[in-house]
Amino acid sequence: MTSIKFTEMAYCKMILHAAKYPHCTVNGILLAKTNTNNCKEIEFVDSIPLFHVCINLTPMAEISLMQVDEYASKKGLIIAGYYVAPENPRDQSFDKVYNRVFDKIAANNSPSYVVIVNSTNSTIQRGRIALKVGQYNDGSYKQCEDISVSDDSMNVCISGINTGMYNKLVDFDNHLDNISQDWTNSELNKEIKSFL
Amino acid sequence: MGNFKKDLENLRQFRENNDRNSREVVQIWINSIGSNIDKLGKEKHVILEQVCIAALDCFQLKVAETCIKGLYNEFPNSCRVQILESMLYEADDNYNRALQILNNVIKHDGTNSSARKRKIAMCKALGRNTEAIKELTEYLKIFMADVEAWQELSELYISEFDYSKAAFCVEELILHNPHNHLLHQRYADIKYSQGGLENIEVARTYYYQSLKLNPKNMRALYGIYLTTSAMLNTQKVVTGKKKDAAQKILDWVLKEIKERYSENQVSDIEESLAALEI
Amino acid sequence: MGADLIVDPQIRFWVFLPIVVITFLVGILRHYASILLSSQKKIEIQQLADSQLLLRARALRENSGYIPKNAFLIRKQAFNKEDGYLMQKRPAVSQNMMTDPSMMTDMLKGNLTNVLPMIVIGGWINWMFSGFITTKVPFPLTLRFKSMLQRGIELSHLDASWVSSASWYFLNVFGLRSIYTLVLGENNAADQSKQMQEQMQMTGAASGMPADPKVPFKAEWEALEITEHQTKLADVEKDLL
Repeated sequence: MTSIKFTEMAYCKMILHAAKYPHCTVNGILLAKTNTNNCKEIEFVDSIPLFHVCINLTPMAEISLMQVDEYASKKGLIIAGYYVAPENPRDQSFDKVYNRVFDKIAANNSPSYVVIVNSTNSTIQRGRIALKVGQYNDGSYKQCEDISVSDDSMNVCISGINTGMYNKLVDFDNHLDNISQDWTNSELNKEIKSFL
Repeated sequence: MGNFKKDLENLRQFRENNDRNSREVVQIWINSIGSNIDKLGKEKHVILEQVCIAALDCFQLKVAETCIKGLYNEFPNSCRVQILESMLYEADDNYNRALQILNNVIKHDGTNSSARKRKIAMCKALGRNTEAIKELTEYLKIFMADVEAWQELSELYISEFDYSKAAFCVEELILHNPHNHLLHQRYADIKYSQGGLENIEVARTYYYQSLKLNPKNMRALYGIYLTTSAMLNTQKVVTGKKKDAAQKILDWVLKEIKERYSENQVSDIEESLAALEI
Repeated sequence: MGADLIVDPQIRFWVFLPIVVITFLVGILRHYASILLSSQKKIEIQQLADSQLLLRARALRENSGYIPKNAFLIRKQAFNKEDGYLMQKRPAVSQNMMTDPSMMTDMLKGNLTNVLPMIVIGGWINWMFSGFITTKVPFPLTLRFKSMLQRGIELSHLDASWVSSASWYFLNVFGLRSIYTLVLGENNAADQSKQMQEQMQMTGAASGMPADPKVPFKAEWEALEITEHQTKLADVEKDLL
């Protein structure tokens, strides 16, 4: 069984993205280090929030994948996973999150991971891990149980939600609305790091 | 009291701009307006309704309940308040009770569209998307010119990956509102997602239209880039003249995109454009 | 001529001002009476669907150039084919117009708040204050205005700029509109002149009753039948490049 780790940056941005748009389905990409791509352990070091408007349309997703790919390769990372925070917290099945973005990710990377964020307020406030991770292999999902997230990330999330830090998060949709906004979230990354 | 006035002004602005801002609305209620609600004159009921919906968004059922009680005092038989009450039950996962209220409202007043819409929303909340689609098409047979409903239906179809039906809905939206660049762009997005050379050509036309209506629409620019390069890549088109024309468009679009970025002085221009030119 | 005519100041207190006050108060009264008597008009669901259908057909006809040709033809077909939306049979509404009791009461109420006070108060004022000269407009007028401004006074030598009491009443009826909006807010029912206008129009359009949907359907069907699809997006690429 693969053990999965999320850094503070990866975890918090996922949760904050879901918190910024509680009434929408949001999605994004998880980046991992290239050299840790063995089957025993994977660490997601960063996450890129992508869309909240309409996640099942492909054109802008293709553009975003191109750009994220470029960004990742510059930082020596690879696209290794895909996360979704469904609009309806009842939708927790892996089949429902399937779409072409994930298809593309899966085609380039095997095994690849899909994460479902179940960000109800109470889970986060109690400091539980609000994620469900599945490993995708040839059309079938295997749920991973061994997920580790540091306590610091939990705390950052709690304070981030209570102080409205999610308003500073920029996803790719925001970037397309106003290209002076930075989807790599370098400001927010600094802020998260300063909490630690 | 100065604060109080400012809060009222804020709430008014949210209402006018159709901003949801539920968290802020509830915060304002808790901080200042909640205890002073009787001091408001005519605005009282509008604010109660606004806060009620915001409170339901934030799962502050107590707040929502007070608002509904206040409204019932004033309008004991109002359909609008009854619908709010059904939403409260809905938020509390008591779907049967909510449904009962809505059915009552519809029986009382067959033309009440918001009760019907709530019922459809409830199907969606329960994860029964196909049922929601069925109900919504029934609804649209009566309320054919309800733009909001067509919009919702298109989004439901997209979430079910039924792009051609979603396109039909967006066509309907365009008919009602032909000068909205977002609709043209959405139509193009759907057509592109549908795939196939013919659809991609249609998509490109609509990206053009969208860009014409709003020269700042980045999605349309990227869309033109994508569709043109997709057309270049399909074997059929690549013959002499057409290839040149397509290449010209590509160059033009890339130039435009670059310009947009340099206008905004974004540091990662090189990075993102490098990705495009692959 | 007119300069040597001096109006008794008593007329100001007992004719001129009472007319203003009475007209104003009657307007206010009418407003509240019509609120009390008004009944929410119930719209039949079929009627609603019909109007929405017409709306959609019109949108299709007017903006057909913005959707692809196929999409237009599908819709045209759906509207105009043998059993399409615009060819549906509807039971004739005009027959039950007179038998429908709610329509009758509505008409009665309308008369009650509009016409009746107009006649009663007008008549009463005419009887009560008849024959007074109330005021003078501060500019000379031609003789033709005499019939308008000097109703109830048949003096051929009187200057035309003098206003009689009955005419003063009518001037008030029509002139108090902006004061009502000030006091009662927009869309009040106090203003008689507006309602009179409405009534005129209503008698033209079958008293605001639902017209037979067949007629607009037929018109829309014909208009749509001759609409050709002409795309408006053909030159958009050239426009941009």
